[in-house]
Amino acid sequence: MNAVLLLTALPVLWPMLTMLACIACAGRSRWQEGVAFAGAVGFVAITVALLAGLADGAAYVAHFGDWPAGFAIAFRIDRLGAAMLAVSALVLLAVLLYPARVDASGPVGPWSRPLLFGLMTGVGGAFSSADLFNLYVWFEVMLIAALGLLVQGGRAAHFEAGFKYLVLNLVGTVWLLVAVGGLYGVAGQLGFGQLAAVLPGSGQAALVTVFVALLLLALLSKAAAFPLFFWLPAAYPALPTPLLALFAGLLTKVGAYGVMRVVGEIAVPVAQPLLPALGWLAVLTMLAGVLGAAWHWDMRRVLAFHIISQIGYILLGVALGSVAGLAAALFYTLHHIVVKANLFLIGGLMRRCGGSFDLRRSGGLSVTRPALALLFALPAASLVGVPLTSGFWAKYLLVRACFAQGAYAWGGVALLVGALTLYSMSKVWIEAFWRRPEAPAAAVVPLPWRAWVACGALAAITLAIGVYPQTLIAFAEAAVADLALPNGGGR
Amino acid sequence: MHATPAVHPPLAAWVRFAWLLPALLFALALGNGRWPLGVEFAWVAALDVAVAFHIDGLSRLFVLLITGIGALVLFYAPAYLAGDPRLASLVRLLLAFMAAMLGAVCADDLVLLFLFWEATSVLSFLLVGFDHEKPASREAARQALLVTGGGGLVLLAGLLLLLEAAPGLRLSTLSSLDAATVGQPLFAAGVALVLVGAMSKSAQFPFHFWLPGAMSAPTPVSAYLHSATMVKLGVYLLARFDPALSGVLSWWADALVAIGTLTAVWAAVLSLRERDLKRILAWSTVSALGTLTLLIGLPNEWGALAFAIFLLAHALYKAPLFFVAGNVDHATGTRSIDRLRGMRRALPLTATAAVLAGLSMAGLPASLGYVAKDVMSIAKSLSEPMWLVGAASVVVSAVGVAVAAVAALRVFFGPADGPPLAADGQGVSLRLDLPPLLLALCGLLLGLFPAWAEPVLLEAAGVVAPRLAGALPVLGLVDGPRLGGVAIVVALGAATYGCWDRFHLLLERLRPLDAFGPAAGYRLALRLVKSGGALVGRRMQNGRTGFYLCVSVLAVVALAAPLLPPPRWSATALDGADLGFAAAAALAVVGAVSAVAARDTLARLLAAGLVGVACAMVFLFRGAPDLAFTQLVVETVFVVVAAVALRRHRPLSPPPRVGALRAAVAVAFGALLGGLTLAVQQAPPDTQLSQFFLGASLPQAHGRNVVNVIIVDFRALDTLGEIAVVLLAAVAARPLVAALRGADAATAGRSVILAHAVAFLYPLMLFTAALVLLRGHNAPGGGFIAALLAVSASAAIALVFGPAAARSRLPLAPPALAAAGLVLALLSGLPALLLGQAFLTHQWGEITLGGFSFAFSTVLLFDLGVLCCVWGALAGFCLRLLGEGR
Repeated sequence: MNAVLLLTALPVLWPMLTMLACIACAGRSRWQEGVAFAGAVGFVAITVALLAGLADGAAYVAHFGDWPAGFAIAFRIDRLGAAMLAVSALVLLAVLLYPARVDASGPVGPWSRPLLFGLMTGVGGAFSSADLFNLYVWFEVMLIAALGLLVQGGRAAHFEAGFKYLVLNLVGTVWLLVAVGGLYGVAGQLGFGQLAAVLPGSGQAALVTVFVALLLLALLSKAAAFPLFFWLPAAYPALPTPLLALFAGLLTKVGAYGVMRVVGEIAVPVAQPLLPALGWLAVLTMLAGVLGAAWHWDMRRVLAFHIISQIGYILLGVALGSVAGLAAALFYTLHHIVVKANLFLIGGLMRRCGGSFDLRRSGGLSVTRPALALLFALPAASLVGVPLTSGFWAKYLLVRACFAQGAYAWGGVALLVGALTLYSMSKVWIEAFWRRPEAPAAAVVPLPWRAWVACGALAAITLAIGVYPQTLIAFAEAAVADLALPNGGGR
Repeated sequence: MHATPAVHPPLAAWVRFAWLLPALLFALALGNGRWPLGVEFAWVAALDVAVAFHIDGLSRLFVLLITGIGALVLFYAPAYLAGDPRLASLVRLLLAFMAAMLGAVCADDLVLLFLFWEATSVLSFLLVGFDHEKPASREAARQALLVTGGGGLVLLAGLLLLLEAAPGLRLSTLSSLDAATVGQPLFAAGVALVLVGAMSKSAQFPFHFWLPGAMSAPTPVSAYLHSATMVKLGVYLLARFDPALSGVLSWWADALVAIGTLTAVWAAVLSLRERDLKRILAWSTVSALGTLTLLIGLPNEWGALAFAIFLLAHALYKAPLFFVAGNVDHATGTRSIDRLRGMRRALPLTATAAVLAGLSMAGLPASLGYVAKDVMSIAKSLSEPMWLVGAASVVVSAVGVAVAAVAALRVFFGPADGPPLAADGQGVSLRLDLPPLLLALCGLLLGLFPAWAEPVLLEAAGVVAPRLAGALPVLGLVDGPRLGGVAIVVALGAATYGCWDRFHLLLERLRPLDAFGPAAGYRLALRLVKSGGALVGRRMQNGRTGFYLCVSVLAVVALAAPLLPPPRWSATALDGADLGFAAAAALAVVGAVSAVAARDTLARLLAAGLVGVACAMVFLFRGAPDLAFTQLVVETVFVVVAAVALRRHRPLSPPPRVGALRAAVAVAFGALLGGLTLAVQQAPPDTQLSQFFLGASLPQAHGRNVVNVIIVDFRALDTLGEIAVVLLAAVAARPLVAALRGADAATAGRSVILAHAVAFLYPLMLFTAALVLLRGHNAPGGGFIAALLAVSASAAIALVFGPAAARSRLPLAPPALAAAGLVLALLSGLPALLLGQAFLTHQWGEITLGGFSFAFSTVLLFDLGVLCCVWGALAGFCLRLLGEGR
């Protein structure tokens, strides 16, 4: 038994096995719940083991089927991938700990947990794979599992959400497939490393650029960037709270991760002329997202649009193409997954206590639920970027990197969007926590302890990063330094 | 905040004694320590951010203000909010705020400074909105947060630029920067942004409007945040930067003078408009902040000294006046100067405090206010003659006198007309009167004996103007001419006081001009955000899938098409395969166009199937019979099952007609993909990978059918993912199918001959599937194709005998069969892991048993897994679609 080879395959094998185990006890809900929880704990353990083994900066590599490098599908889990895996596992654990029916936002049938682990299989594969077509396969796994989860509710609203999600994402998948096929056609290779070596000197510079652009666009549609984000606000609000938190935390970030890989590793010199366009798309994404969020009154839609806005920040870091930029993007991604998932989980608690996701029909929670107010305040402040939360350092790193490369306009917009995020979150606070509710307050229902633990733990992570960011910043810089990067080291 | 519950909740003792903590700190700061004092701890090394504090004379003056007034505010608060259950949370917030303020004025590291700065903004939001059940409080809190928080982001941008221009910059190293560094445009831009940030915090024009609104906060908060401490943070920062910049950056001093003067005059004039005592005081605070900014901008040392004295004097008279306003409000329930008259009888001690503070505010001799005015006039007279600034200061001072008179005389000594107040009020205890009295007395004592304050003030001024090395004359020298100046100002102030109500009416008439003021700018910005939000949230995200699709596709075409290389046309002779290829392409076009044009659902389904058939033909002519067969079976099964299902279920409404724009977008997208395909075809292919597959297939992977070897061995992981997709798709489809199923799904009109034929064919087809599976590694076939055959068999049974019959003939229930298939595929990869090889490394072996040798391989297991998974998933889907399991 080769521990390295086993560990490298586990990000896919483990969730897949958990999925099968969940199918095996599809009729017994409590069993299935236990199996799923154990699966999440195991996934966390696997990612911790992966991270522990990567302290010195090497990578876990496996060539499946033991075919030679370049001809086999390879998994290559470096610090970038391992960090994404770890934070995904963490969010999964929190989501499974959170009671499934806390806010009556949707039933959970016997097939939700198998689909959930199907989704995690795709996520695990996407963060581990070093093969472009294989990456496409994992995106497909995610797509179909996500679709399944969207329609599990079985009502018309779920089907509508699922339909929009399917149609718009299928188109993105087509772009992805065309780009992968095209690059394979030009380069004759699919491995990340092989493509990186072959693409710059392929003699088909123009064609390669088109396909890289198409690849980036496909990934941007998965990341819900402007103007390819329509599927996200259309689909997400139909999900029950815990699933919504998982989707919000993870799915778009897989797309953003893909963009990081393409820009920083697969198509390093080819992507460089595309970076300014990527940066401006990121700027538009930030603005469109935050404006949409400021406009909405439904907590889920507010937060859904904030996902888009925050994706803009991440993409902006990638568009800088430097160590500082990508490190900022990675830091941002890791912090944001935790924050965003937590905000949706807390949103479910707010729904339960306040009676509605609609801010206009909620209110008074700071009086009736002071602890919930505190719990909400932390990730909300982090989303805005208030100091001593993780979000502050994320924005600080990003704007600093922008300014260091002379991208003052980008950095300025990033700060402006911070102010607009402040506007949006203060609106949520004022409406849901401060305003006296129109209807007389209902009896204070107790909140399940599991919800407190899940949300509290995620909030504690946010605070811990905020108070002592040094470790994570150093990690992000080291993780990104392994990549080749178009704009070089910078600082 | 005037809630008077019948039963006072038990109050934690610490709330009553919380004031001791700042008092202790005050004593510590007052004691003669060694200044400057510096401490530093490492924090975020990666960003060169440290927990570094540097406490010099300027910081010390602020620390004294923060702790001294903080102690009195905390002393005052429990009495002010007596019986209010939220008192403890107010005290907690005030303590947190005090800590943030102390951090901000002591921080040396720029990022640390920003951290505390933002903390004060957030805490002030919570404090201003303390009475959050009132809409006005919420709106004021939001306005304060957005203006100071937004300003904070500008400050952050400025600090980042400064750090970019001068790496490692600290506040304590500002003054040692060389002129070259300060002269960089980047540095100047950073300074400009810092200036804007400081202006927003200190309510300088045009950001001043948030401060009067913030008066909806409880009085202890207003006294503390909005007169004595937080609003002075911006001025503090300007004073910090001034020594490094004045004389180096040409515009710096002028900008400060201009902004300060404008703010001071503007706010002074607007204070005349108010009728609410607290709002009057708030405007006069804005005016004072403008004066402070102006003083920093004055180029001589006297300006720095005047700054320090006025800072202290203002705190010592304005905070008591806020306490006074709070006491009056507490006693009467109103703060309107129209209703408040003759309060001296009801509140004698408060009246005393008001008069004492008013003396200093008016700048009458023997008060610290007088000393401040005195030094100020020296500073101004030493500067270049700026008559505008001089005139402005007369106006500002005169209005200051008038405001002092309103707060001290009008409220307490005017004739008591109208019904007596204090109907709904509470008594004012000594605990409420002591803080204003103490502060006001301090203001007078220091006016009489300025030397007591001299060390602290000179030290602070010395930081702002380093040349001011203790060589100044003793403070408080009263000489004739300046006394005359005071007399003029007092006379003007008295006149203003006399005409207060007339000024009020005049300014009220000008109120329509507010539509062009900065507050209107704030409202405009909010409206812009809302309309921008509507653009995104409603106009773009309009719920129409077709629109989404159109925009997305158009965006991709627009972004990718310009990068497309120009097409190169080449004519090559067509051979037979090419002709077949062309026919397939034509078929695909016909199918696609008919699918769009057809009005009938069934016709559309068939037309779409035609495209699939065309694809199969392409595969066939390109030498991939496996793929061609797979594609054909998939299309056939899908079309047949879907057609049957559609016929049985409720009819679908015909689709809307395709508009010209959408057609154009679709064609453009098709053209892009076509162009790309063409371009790839023309590029010389790199066949390294395919050559390897061809070469290694037989000798190393033991299979002649390269397509199958790729599927089950070379890229088995992809296949594993894909069969997982099939399994997940079947699971995902369950609710969809459940919703689609109609009421009646009984098989009608079964033909006997057909039934016999199908019953006979079923085992035959399964047998064929098994054969196809077994031979697949070497000849066209394999798990996928076998599965499709099996699915066809199941579907045929279901169509003829009903889904239940088909299900009973499956080896396992469909989901279990699919899951078992995935398990088999996974199992086939595990032996390799146990042997220390990579997952999915296939094992080959041979067993000789009684003369026969059986070759076996995990490859077969994998392919069997594919078969079971696809069969189970698709059969399950078809059966449910045809009505099974209801």
